[in-house]
Amino acid sequence: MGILTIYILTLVILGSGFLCERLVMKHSELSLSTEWAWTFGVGLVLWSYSLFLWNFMGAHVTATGIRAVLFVSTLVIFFYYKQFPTFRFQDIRMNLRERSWPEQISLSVLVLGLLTSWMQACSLPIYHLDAVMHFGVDAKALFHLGTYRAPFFFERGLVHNQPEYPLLVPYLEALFYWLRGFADDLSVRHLFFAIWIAFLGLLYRGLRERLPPASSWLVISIFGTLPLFTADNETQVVSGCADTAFAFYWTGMILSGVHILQGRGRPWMFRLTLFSLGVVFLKPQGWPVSWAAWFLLILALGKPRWKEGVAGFARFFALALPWLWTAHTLPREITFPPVVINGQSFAGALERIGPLTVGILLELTRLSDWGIFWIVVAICIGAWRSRPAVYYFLVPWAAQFLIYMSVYLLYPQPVSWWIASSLSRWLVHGAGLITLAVAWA
Amino acid sequence: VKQNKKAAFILLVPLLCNLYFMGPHFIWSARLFVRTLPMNPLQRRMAFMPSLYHDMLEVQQRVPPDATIWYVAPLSPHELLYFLYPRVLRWGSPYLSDREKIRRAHPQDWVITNHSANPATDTVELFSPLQETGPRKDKD
Repeated sequence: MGILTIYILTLVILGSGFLCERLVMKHSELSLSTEWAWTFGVGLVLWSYSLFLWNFMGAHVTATGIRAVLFVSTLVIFFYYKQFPTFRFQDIRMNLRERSWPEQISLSVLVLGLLTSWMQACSLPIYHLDAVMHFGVDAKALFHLGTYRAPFFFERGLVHNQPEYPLLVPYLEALFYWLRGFADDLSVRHLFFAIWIAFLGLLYRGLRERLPPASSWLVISIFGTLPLFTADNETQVVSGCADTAFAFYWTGMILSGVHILQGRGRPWMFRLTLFSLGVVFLKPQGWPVSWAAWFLLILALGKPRWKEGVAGFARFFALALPWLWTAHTLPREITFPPVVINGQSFAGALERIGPLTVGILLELTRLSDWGIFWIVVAICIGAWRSRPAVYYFLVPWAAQFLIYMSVYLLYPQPVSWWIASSLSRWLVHGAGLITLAVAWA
Repeated sequence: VKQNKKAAFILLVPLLCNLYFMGPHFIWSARLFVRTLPMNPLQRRMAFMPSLYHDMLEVQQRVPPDATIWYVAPLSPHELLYFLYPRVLRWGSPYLSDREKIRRAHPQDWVITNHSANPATDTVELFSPLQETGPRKDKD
């Protein structure tokens, strides 16, 4: 029952995103067949951020209210959407015999990878450390309290790991809990499976702009079956951590920016705005990376179109302002026992470069996590002919990488701790961009 | 066409490499899936992290949901916060030796200590309010 409910909720979120794009943006040519991944991303932000804004205005969320809103939303989607009868996933021909043998192999392996993730989502309630410590506990609190404006989030004497952590995932989990009536932390893992499918769908659309379907499927299969996505740690796509979702929004944000640079019109600015909102509402590092991306976009738009970029950034900033203000008022990270984080001195930071470089190289070549993904990427980077489109992906990725590395260098925790606890997940955030860069080369 | 076939063949190498390393994950997931299929969520937690979850269940049964628990441990509370919610944890002391001091300072509240950072072997001890049950240790 829980699994059925979460997939119905997923469809409502998808439909809401679709309606939002179609009605707000007057994007009448929007087709779910090709753009479902984008509309799903829009729907996720729409629901989670609307709930946050509702709380921000001082109102509480109740289970009855959520059920009523979801019911009305479902009716509205049902009556407005005329495309269901013709809906089909493009490029998927069910007859495998029509395909070449490399395609058959790649699709079979991809299905195996997806099946692995699905079985993991079915088996155990969320249990990975970050999934329960950050997102799970906030989701439970939102579900019980109906708002984040409560002592649990604001009182310093209470135990709460990083109360200032963004709330997109907790609100989505709580949305499902309100619908179910209890904290069903087993079925909720399927929500992350849906986000994973959407991420692969988004990457596929990006790849299809440069590659034929067969090659796109092959690349998606390579990316989607990377062993760390099914490993029993926090890189697992259904672990309940926000890293896959962050990679989804970050890749979508940059891809929207590329489409704006190519002059593809208004809907992409709308998507860029909402996807960058998703980035900042998912993880604390969302702020610096999204600001860097907006800055690069405005720079790349140049003299004739920079005002377009500034206007887009202003809209994003206005939308994100309530969360920026809230995050500022929430207590900062509390370490236990409390220590003062002063940051490294410049000399101390320089000393960390050596071990950090070694750690990164070891991580990139760890076959049990990445296979030979990064080795293939390195070969492709060495071999490609310079094309401007490649830099659309590589420059934001480099900016993101520099921001992350500066955290590693400046924060006082040992380098080995950073590498063990977060490096592979942080590489996941940029892996989608690298895949697109290689495919567009 | 020939070039495409060559490229596809080359791209199959990383895919097969992924398959080699993903294979054990698939087998582990399939076994877990089959094993947990007849279980309810509680049994699944008990089967997977018996030590910690057994302690958590005991705390959940004994401590009322609206109670306050003081956390006395040199370690971050990790999963405790999640499993014990809506019972809120308050920072007590990072020193285990402060346990009785915290209990006397807050005689109407519960105190919990945690000796291990490893979730699989968490050693959680619960101490009841002094005002209700007197100064006795409830769990060893």
